[in-house]
Amino acid sequence: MPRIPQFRSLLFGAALAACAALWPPLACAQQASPNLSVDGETGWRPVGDDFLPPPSGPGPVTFDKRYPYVDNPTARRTHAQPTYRVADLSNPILQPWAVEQMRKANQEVLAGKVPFRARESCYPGGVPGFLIYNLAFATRFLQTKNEVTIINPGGPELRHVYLNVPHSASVQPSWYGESVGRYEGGDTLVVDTVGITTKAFVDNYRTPHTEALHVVERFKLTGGEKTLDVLITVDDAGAFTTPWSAIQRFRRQSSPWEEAACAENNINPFTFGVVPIPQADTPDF
Amino acid sequence: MGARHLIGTTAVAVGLLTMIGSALAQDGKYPDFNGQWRRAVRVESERIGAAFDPSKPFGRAEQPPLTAEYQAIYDANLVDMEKGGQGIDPTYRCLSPGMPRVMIPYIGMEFVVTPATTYILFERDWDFNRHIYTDGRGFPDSMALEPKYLGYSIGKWLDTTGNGRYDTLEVETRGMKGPRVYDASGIPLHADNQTVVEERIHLDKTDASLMHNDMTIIDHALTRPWLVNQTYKRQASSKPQWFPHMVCGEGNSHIGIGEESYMLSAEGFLMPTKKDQPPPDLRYFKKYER
Repeated sequence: MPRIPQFRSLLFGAALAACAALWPPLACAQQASPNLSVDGETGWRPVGDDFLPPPSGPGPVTFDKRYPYVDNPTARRTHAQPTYRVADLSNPILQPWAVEQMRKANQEVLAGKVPFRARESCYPGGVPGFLIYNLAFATRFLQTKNEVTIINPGGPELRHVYLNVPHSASVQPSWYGESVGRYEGGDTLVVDTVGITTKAFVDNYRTPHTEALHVVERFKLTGGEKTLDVLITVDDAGAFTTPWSAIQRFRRQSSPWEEAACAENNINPFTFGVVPIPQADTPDF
Repeated sequence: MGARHLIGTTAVAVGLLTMIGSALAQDGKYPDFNGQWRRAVRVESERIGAAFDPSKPFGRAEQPPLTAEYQAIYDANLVDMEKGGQGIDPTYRCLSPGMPRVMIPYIGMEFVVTPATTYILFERDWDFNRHIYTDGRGFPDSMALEPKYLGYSIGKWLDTTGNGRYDTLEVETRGMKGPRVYDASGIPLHADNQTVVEERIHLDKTDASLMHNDMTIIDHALTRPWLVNQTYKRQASSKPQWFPHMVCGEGNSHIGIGEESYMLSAEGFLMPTKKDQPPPDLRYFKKYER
């Protein structure tokens, strides 16, 4: 059972205590809130599928400078050869065991193996990996009184964020964990997530985490509501030497929702061994 | 300073009350579909499975009004399943069940009601999500060229009692693509994908935790429209429940090659799924002498 990181959760819980007694939390839910849905066809397209560095302090894992990462759009634009991601293991946020696990993954990539990436195996992105899941689909928000649903149609991937309630006392790990949220200052949605399965990675560099992972995302409308910035704070003493932060940015677009079948006839060849296939002891016939 | 503070506070309070008022008015106009919904009825049957017609046992006993041609397709599918095959149910390859099968539903679903669109969210990634447009639009011209597993759904809210509040969502769905079957027993829909699904979704008159979906399926594989009443039970909870996110591709060892279904063993070898199943055609692989 994952431990809920104490300090932030206590603060979050205290802020929500009064509202929690009112589930469905009518009084709390009427706080001014940013309109992330705008209309039925508003989506938010990510500017990239790597986390951006924070304004200050420890930041996310990026690529090893000896092996620059060239994504497909950049490769098309510059006529360069696209490459797979090789993680920078010198990032001081990583605990030694995480470095060793990632070193093996790096070596496999350098030896020519196609690296695991959640979207390419039709696996969920986890949290915060959901924010950098892919470039092709615009993220959608459905906002109701008690809940914000965040959807990436390319799966589709669904996250349920219940507003103004505390975390459960014990959380069963799952792909998207348990997310609770609140609005702040009229322009920000704050989402606090725990209970994320260790089958998910933190990013597209295969950075692992433990079940103690605690992620806070602050979704804020910027640029005259044309852009959506997400400040991400990651805390997991089991996998990281220090809490660290990152940014993801989305641009607003208006387009119909897609029906995208990620797993359509997908035989899942790049499982990275995260889910072993069950094996029978005796043949069936 | 104090007066200015008071004015500011009052303005904020008035604004908040206005917001609350409009939110409540909006809430009051539509029925309360909030919460998480699961199948309400399960009838015991010989085979394990969720019947499309929940009032009958799963499988042949559902007695779908199929034409002779499609009854033969259904029967052959059942024979294949009895041998260990997948029949004509395409979902083992992570294809979406599509409409109308997603409305069984297998795990759970949530409704998000807005004036322009009602969304039905499912917890299995291969079910996708339904968008029922209630903004007055019609079916798009591009529908025939871009069919979808869930089709295109146009809805209309009805006030059937005349009390000034909507109580029933009437939906028509067209523009589906296949292959689709009604349930895991493989009851087929016509290959022409001209299916029309009509639904009337409403809460029970005496039990607000029970939802009815009166479905009428019109399809060229049927001898007459098939009327089915799906019922859903609202999950009672004093606090929110986080559904698990179910992933079809996770550990799915089924492989469809041509018309046959195979399995991938734990060691990564191709396996048969039924006795005397022929191996796949390996014409594009170099042949080695044994």
